[in-house]
Amino acid sequence: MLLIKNGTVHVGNGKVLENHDILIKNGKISRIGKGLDCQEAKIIDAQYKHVFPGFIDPVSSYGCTDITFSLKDHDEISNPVTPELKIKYAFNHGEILVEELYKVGITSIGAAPGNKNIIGGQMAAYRTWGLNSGKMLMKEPVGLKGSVIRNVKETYGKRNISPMTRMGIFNELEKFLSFNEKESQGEVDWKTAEIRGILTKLLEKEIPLFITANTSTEINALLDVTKEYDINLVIVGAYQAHRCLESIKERNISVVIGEQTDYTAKNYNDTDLYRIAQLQKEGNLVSFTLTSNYGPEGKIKYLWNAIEFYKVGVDSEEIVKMMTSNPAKMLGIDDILGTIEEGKLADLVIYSNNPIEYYKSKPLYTIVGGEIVYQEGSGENATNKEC
Amino acid sequence: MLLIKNAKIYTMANEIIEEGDILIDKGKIVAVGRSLEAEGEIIDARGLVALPGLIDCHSHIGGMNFSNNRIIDDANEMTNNITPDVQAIYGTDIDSEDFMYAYRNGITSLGITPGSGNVVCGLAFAAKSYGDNIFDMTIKNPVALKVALGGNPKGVYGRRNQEPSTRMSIPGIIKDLLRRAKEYMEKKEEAIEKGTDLPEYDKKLEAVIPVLKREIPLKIHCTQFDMLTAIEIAKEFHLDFTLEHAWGAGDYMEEIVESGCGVVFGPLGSRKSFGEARLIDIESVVELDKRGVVTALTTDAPLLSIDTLIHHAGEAVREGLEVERALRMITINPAKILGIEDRVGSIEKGKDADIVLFQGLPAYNTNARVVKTIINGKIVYSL
Repeated sequence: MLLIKNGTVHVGNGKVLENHDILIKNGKISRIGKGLDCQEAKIIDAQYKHVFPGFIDPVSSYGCTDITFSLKDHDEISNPVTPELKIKYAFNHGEILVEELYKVGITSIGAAPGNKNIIGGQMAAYRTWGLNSGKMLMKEPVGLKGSVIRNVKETYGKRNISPMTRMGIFNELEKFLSFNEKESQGEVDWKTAEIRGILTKLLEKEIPLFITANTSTEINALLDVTKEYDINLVIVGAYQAHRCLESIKERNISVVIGEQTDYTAKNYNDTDLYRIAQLQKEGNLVSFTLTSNYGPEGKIKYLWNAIEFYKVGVDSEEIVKMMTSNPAKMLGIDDILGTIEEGKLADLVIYSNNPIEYYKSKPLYTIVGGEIVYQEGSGENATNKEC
Repeated sequence: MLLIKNAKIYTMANEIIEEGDILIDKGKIVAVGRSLEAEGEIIDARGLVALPGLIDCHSHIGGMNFSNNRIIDDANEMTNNITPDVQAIYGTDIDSEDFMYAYRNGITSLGITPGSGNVVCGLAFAAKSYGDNIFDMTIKNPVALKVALGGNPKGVYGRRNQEPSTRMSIPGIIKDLLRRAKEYMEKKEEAIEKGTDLPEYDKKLEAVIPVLKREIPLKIHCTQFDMLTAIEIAKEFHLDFTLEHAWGAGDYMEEIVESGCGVVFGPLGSRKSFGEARLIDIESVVELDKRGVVTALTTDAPLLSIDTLIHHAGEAVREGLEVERALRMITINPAKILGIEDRVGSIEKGKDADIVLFQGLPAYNTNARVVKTIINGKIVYSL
């Protein structure tokens, strides 16, 4: 048992609870309140400190490429449309642990195929800390991941295989979305059955479609191709989403802004983070990711990406939502993660100050499933067994 | 004349002046103090922070560009692994948007260097970030000869089955060039002294002479244990040098301090990997600073956006460095590393009037914003 005392608790839904205690029992948040007491619990003094729900990066290939970058298990570049593939077969806990994402407070990711396939495969939600891949898996499938950016053309066109152009990309996407409209004669093979199954889940809004689209040209074409379908769409990258806000609002589409600093992506695209953040007021979900066009970036940039929103005047609690409850909702894991509420899993991070507002803020504790998995200054990762 | 009134001035010259004034005339700072009076334009900077224009001493702005319609690399001449005589200034495209991102975010001077695809990459220069002619914007050219150890040249040439395909052959290539340049220089000097014929003109070796004479430093791209190779080469030839990138510097603290070199640390934000990215220890700049090493921070822009220079300083603060010391790493220290501290890097009488007014304190308040950027006494950006 753990008792966090007197913290400034950022709930993750926009609310802040001052001087509140959080009691953690059996890996879950058991009580939140003032003046809580528990004799058996290990106490963490969080006075003047900031407690956040563990951050969630909704689209990440951490774990799916190895440390040398030579094994790229997240891009099946033999076929541009592979909806039947599952990221869980590529997720290696040993590889994601190398980056120690939990040390910046990221405790879960939406593990996803990369940006080289139009439809790359099925996503899964994982914790960033755990004994093995199986124990870290939270839910799957949590989405279908694809891409319409330049990387696709660069992968296939170069080999004189379709798609060589943006025309080709969107043609393939149209074909995929209409795949179930064609009646099958007799028995279908396992692959066709799998594709039909996942597409049905998509069309019945059980899972969303995550598509990387950066420029307004790519985003508008994506909006057009998908307009006949009643699906949950998440635009990833979305550096020029500010140029397509009307349709995004109208269709309640979610947006995950790609890593902003790698290859100067945000500046070159003139990304208007303020206007994109205002989508939250319309009920759209907005989040951001460490994933750039070419893969996941180092954890130190996670806070920089949050700060970029704060710098242009977005309220810091609105940014906390982008880091916690919004990605949880996108991935359909908001019943167990994403906010600090009684009954949810105890995945938390405690900072010495608010890191969105002040550089001089250090992560002091990261707690995953009620266990302290990182403690500042302890040298090694701390472990705390349930009492 | 331009007079900035009542700013909190971080001079970067051992002084923070509360409600201080800066008087500018003909592009230069003519007075810094309190209650200054002058004819001309007045900027009321009450509540604002004044800093000398920020400097990133290791960038590829104008030489590389990754915007949607203009992917360019004019900073790596990877046709020969020894190109000491190619000049970054000729690869610099002034139309790159990155110059604008620089001055809008308070970065007023840049060290612009060739990339690290070659072992001996070419000559770096220093320029202001605002203008329409790179030659007019230039503060000093060359400021250093750039060489690269490790993965980059190895990756380029090794893949072609050419030298260097391993780390083992890289120091030899550099030392051989330095030896030949030394011989050439000595022959030249002897010929001048004796009035005999000069040796045949060698453009490459000519480019190395200022390094041997310690007129400019060797700018050595290196990380982790390559730093020891860098120090060995520089010692053998008695060179001034800087360690560029310097990931893992914490493991070589004593050797770095003893060598007397400068360190240009960064960029941050690469994912942890094997070899060169095994350890990216921003915390080491705290210790380097404490031990008296001239330490600057770099974004490697546009590989990372130039405005992340302030995030870099902020990360040093997160690791315990005082804000004023972190700000030195993006002002006076890079000026020293580029050898242009007589012109820029601090707010002092006689220096170029490159001044940035911030709302909030950069590297402390994450939302510190540039209100005005002044270069050579001219307001080039206003919020």
